[in-house]
Amino acid sequence: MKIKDINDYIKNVNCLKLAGINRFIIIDVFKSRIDIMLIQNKEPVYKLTCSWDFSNYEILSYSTIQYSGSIEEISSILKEFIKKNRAEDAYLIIGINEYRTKTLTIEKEVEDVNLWFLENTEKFIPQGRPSKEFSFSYEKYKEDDEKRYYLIAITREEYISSLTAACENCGVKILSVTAFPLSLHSLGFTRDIRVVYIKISDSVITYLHKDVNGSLFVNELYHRIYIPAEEGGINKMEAESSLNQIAEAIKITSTGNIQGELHLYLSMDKDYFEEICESAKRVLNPVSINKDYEKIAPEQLSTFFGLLKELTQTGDKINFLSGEIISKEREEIEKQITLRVTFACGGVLISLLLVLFMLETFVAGKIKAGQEDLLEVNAKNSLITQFEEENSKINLNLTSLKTLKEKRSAYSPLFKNLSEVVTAQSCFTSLKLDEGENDKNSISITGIALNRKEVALLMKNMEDNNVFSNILLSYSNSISAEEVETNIHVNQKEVIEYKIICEYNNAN
Amino acid sequence: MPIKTPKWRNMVILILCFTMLVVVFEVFPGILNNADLVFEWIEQSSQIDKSDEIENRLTGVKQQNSQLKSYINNIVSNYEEAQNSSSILKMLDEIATRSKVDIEIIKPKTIIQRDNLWLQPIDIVLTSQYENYYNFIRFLENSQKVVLVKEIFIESGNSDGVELQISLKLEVYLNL
Repeated sequence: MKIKDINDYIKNVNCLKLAGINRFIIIDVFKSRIDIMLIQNKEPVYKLTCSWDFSNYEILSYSTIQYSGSIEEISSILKEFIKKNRAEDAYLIIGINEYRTKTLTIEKEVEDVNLWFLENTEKFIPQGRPSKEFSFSYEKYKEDDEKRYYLIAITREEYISSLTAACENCGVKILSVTAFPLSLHSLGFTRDIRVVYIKISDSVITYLHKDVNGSLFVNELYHRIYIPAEEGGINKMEAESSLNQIAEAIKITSTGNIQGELHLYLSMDKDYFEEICESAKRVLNPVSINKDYEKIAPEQLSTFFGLLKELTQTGDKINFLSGEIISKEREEIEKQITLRVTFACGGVLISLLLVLFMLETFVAGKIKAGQEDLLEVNAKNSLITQFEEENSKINLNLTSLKTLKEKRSAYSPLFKNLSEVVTAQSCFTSLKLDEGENDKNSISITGIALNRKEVALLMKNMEDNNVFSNILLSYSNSISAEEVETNIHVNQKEVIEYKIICEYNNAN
Repeated sequence: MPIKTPKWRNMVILILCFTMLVVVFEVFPGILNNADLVFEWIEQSSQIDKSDEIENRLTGVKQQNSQLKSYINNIVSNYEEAQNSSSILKMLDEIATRSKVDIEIIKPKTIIQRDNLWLQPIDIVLTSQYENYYNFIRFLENSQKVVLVKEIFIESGNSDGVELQISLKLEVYLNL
């Protein structure tokens, strides 16, 4: 989102929406009739801007009431309507139909526009009448490099003050007193299109033309279109003639430079709407009639546009309400906004902090509860590691022991081999065996033999046996037979004592 | 800004600024702290959920350990429990009795470590007839335990030459 978008959003934030005001009473006051409507904005609370979409609004009540034309009677009608619809909290928008309009152009170099209007009242107030008798209000509808274009509405001061007083008596808060037929051109959806707005009331037809450049033409025709029901309800000839006049006026005021397709918005009695539409299609050739607002009754269109203008237009707008009342109401609304913002921020903060606190407490509790289980799991993990280390060590030892066991020297075959090599006339008196490396053990044998031939035979036998190697005769001595401690019976005086050293190959 | 009265406009700005401050310095850290706690909780839960798996693994390694110990105890002498060489002497005595040799001297030496294995060197002097001695050696060699004969010295034991006097140097491996 760009900063420009944020700025636009903030600029379009609606004060009334922000202040929580979403119910409005809109009255359109004619000479002998009042159209009165109670409407509610249904958009969600968080949406701070108001849209033009009709589906976001609900008309709670609408009635057309005939009255004598007395201002006091308006008060009682309004009171009854408020009571009937329990609309004490609703804000009031008043539409008047006794006014004159004029468009004015002011040079851009004029700095204080308010002062300019005060100093140039003679340009728009009826000539020869004191300016105090009149009330005027204006709004800018176009601006170019050199000029500003204003639409100004003028009405009688006494009419506005008595109407305002009558409505204030009902206890409702007044938002504005305006002219509903002057609303359409300022609504955002008409910004880049060419529109004609026609409002047909009892004795007057108000029409407004806005081209794609924003140029405006407003006028009134004093034709009586509606006639008594027994005479047909509508004067078709008069209607056709009025539409032709409107088409002609548009053509003239547009100085022959009409651009873009025409969109027609028609506010009138719904009973004759279709007939007028047929005529309008022939005369004005519009591309659409009441586009996007087909669902709203044609007689309610004018008042609804009045409300839309109040809710969506941010700049100056035509409002005959006295500055004092406007300031008072504005102060009240802004105070309400401040209170709502305070409560909203406080509520959001308290909710957030509460949720965070509760979440923290909940999760911390869960973690604490799981600590014992986690300790147990960690202890088991530690045990597993210990066991695995121990098992690995045992496995290693087992491998070493198996190797040792497989390679250990086998001495029992040695004794068998020795018994095989010994001769019949010799014997062993001692044997010494030391384990050496590479499966070779050194053997030292001492013994006695009857003669040297027997010693030689013994050595030969050892050499023939492949388990013995490196056979060496360490010594052989003749000794007296009496010195020999042996169970061998010897018949001769001398015997041979010998010592043989050799290696014993264990691998065999 | 739609609010035109300075008093109310300033108040709204003040409230919004205060709210932003609380959000930045209190709510955001709180959210981060909670996120940490939640992650810790998730991690803890996932570890606790693996409890059964860990229990099974522990049982498995325990069984393996027990089997390995039992196996190694079969091939080495049990020194760990007795904390002395009595079991080794008992084993040698049993072999001697079985092979009918007389042990005259048996002398265990200091336990030593070789290649991560502990072993007990023992010097034995025994007397026996040649055949019995042969059996004694055979028993030692075929013993389940790892007993290594490192040195043998045989000589005639008495005047008739039937009895032999034999000195042996053995190495008996231990379960340490």
